[in-house]
Amino acid sequence: MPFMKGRFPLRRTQKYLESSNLVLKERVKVFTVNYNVSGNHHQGARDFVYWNIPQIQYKNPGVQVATFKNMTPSPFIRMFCENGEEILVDVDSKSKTDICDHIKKIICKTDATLEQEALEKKSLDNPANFGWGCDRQCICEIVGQVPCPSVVPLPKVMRGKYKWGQTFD
Amino acid sequence: MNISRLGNECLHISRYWYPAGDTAASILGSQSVRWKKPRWIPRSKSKEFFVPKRCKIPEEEVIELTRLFNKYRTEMKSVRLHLERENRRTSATSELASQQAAEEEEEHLRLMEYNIQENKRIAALREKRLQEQYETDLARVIASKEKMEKLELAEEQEALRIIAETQELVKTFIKREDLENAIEEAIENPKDYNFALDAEGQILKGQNSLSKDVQEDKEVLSSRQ
Repeated sequence: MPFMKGRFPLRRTQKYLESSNLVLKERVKVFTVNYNVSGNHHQGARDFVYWNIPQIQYKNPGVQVATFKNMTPSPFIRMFCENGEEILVDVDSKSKTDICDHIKKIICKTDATLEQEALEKKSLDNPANFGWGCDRQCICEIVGQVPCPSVVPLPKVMRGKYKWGQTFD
Repeated sequence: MNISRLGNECLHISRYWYPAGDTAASILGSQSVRWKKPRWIPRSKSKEFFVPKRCKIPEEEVIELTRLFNKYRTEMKSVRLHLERENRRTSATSELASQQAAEEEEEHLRLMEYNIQENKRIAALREKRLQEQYETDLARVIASKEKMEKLELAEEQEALRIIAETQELVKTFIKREDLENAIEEAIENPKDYNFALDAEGQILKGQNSLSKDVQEDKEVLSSRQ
């Protein structure tokens, strides 16, 4: 299999995107990063945008994620919530990991919450179910059950027309 | 699992089963009624006084059916009430949910406060950095200004030196009136630029002079003196 195209295509792999735990709370609707392409105090913000923005968008498909370049002397992250609240995070001279930790602390779901949600989701789709939207459509597909009467006719004992006869009153 | 084989090449296994009718828009296989009697036409003669027979259910069966019905209804009712109670307990307007919401709000406010404090700390660091940068820039500018001034001074000195030299040279220029005299002088006193150097640096003027011939007035190259 050939190499993936682009610089650091690792950022596009599912494994990398899944590995992040930056799941924003439901109240956040827009996530914005302002930074410059040059300047040492912007390096942390640049790294954050390069490595972590794809992860954030993957984990929060309902959130609008935007970046603005070369509009500010000092980098910052701004989040807009449902009730119009603005959360401003100053990231001047911070490293990428610092930014990630800070964001995780103030506005992301905790690991405990994420675990609980994952557990709930797992219990909802029970693999033993059958029917519409499940692995198997009918119980006749399951090994050990009565086969489909369209393929193998049921024994006469189980058929109504033989049990009760033809009755016309 | 729905397994479909495509040309014996690959085995596609689709994980979820959805009936074809749900994905397609049209309802295939529906039948329409060929004939229905119009509503203004009265019932036919053979059917107009027809009274349907009331079927007689045996008593034992009635008892059994009632028992089964009661059992079923009790079970369904119990399930329904249980779910209702659960819903009331955990719904968005219930006490539990509002309590949770209040807790979340409190937590959120606390985190926002923390964020503001963090912002202040970063702002202080930034101020310090900018101040340091300003000072270094200022120092750099002053140093460069001084350097420029020095260079300018040096250039001025150089220019003045050149002017003085030139002024000296100007005195040796031949004026138009003296031109003929100067030409005559030049013709009468030819200048010989040929000279040789021997190993000691002695200048031997003329084209063919030898070192052993020159005894008096030894002129030695200035660099050797």
